[in-house]
Amino acid sequence: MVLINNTQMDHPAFHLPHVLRILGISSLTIFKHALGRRRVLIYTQPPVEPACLLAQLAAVISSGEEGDSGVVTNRISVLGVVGLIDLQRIERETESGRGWIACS
Amino acid sequence: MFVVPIFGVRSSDSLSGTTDAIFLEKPQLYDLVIDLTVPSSPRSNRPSLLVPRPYGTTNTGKPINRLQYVRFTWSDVKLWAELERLIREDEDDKHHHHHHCRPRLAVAASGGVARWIDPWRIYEDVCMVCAGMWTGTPSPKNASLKLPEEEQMNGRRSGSASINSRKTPSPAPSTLGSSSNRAFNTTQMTRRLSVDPRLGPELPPPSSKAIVTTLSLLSTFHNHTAFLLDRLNAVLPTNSSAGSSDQDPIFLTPKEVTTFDLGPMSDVDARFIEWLAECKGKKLKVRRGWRDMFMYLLGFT
Repeated sequence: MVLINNTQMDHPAFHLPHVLRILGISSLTIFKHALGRRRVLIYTQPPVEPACLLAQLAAVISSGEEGDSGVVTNRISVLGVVGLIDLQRIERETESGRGWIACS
Repeated sequence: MFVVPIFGVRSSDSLSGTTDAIFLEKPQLYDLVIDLTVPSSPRSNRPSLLVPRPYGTTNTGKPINRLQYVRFTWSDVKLWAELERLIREDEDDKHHHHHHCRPRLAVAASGGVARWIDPWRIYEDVCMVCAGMWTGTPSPKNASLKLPEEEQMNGRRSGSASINSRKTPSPAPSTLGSSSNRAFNTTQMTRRLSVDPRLGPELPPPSSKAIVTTLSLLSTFHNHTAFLLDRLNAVLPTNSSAGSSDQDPIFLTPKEVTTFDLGPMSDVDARFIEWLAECKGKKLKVRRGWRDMFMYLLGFT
């Protein structure tokens, strides 16, 4: 039996059916890039909430395999909204080899 | 020199600009761009996906990349069919339950059929926040947008609507009907409301059915990931035992690619397997030469 508390009710994963409807089969291209730990940039105009939601969902569906303790250790990084000032941060994340998802 | 577009001009009382579009001029920084501002095709309002491709080199020998549109591969159809089945079950249940994300955007085609004429049948019942991913307003033929809870929402949150109308730009002139424009305005407004808890009561929690659907979708992705990684683990030791070190690339034939439920002809699928191996610290290459393809088509490899 799965117990879900009120905090988990606000999890972005509950938007997953909606996002899949909007993106369609192309969502699997995003899934492949996220699971392959690539660098994914979401380009949007304000407001950025849908883009951030999409970034979170891409990370959720591509969490990958669990470690021995049952915890996913190498999740793709969600950087949030980035700008030119974050170029060094992006390069650092790239060097980590875990990939990243960012909004701009 | 970069062309820096300035957008975000809201009204006469504010002017804001951003240089973030400069990222589109630097494709070497990323592997995939999801552009929520441009539709993937004139007939579709879905976001477009672009990947950088080598285009040439500069005088100094630096590679030049160019953004190209990328679409799904045929190997995606099987997994998508499973996901779509789960989504459709959720749709069938929508008339009996209230969902997490409300108010929803219901689409009613002419003739009383409550769905658009769409081969994938996915343009239904999305929350206003998610609807912001649509690039512009949906414009299917013979269809109109209906907002069943629009009046209630306007009545409950009329003050916040006036705030948003001052902050949000008017939608671009469109040939769509007034109902579509009204839907666009409401989408903007509700998205604004969703991030400010002072502007109304919290939305109701997701129903049990919505929770089951979400967990089923996540489970499908997880199972598919487990399948891919199992296949990869099965392939990597076999090839490594042939006497190669971790630095030497492991070659995969087109036939072995099919065991991943991926397309041997697809460039995206080939690179996807290489990425998965890279995550495990292995170097893997998929053979995609004309001879490999020819042999595969003849059934030899």
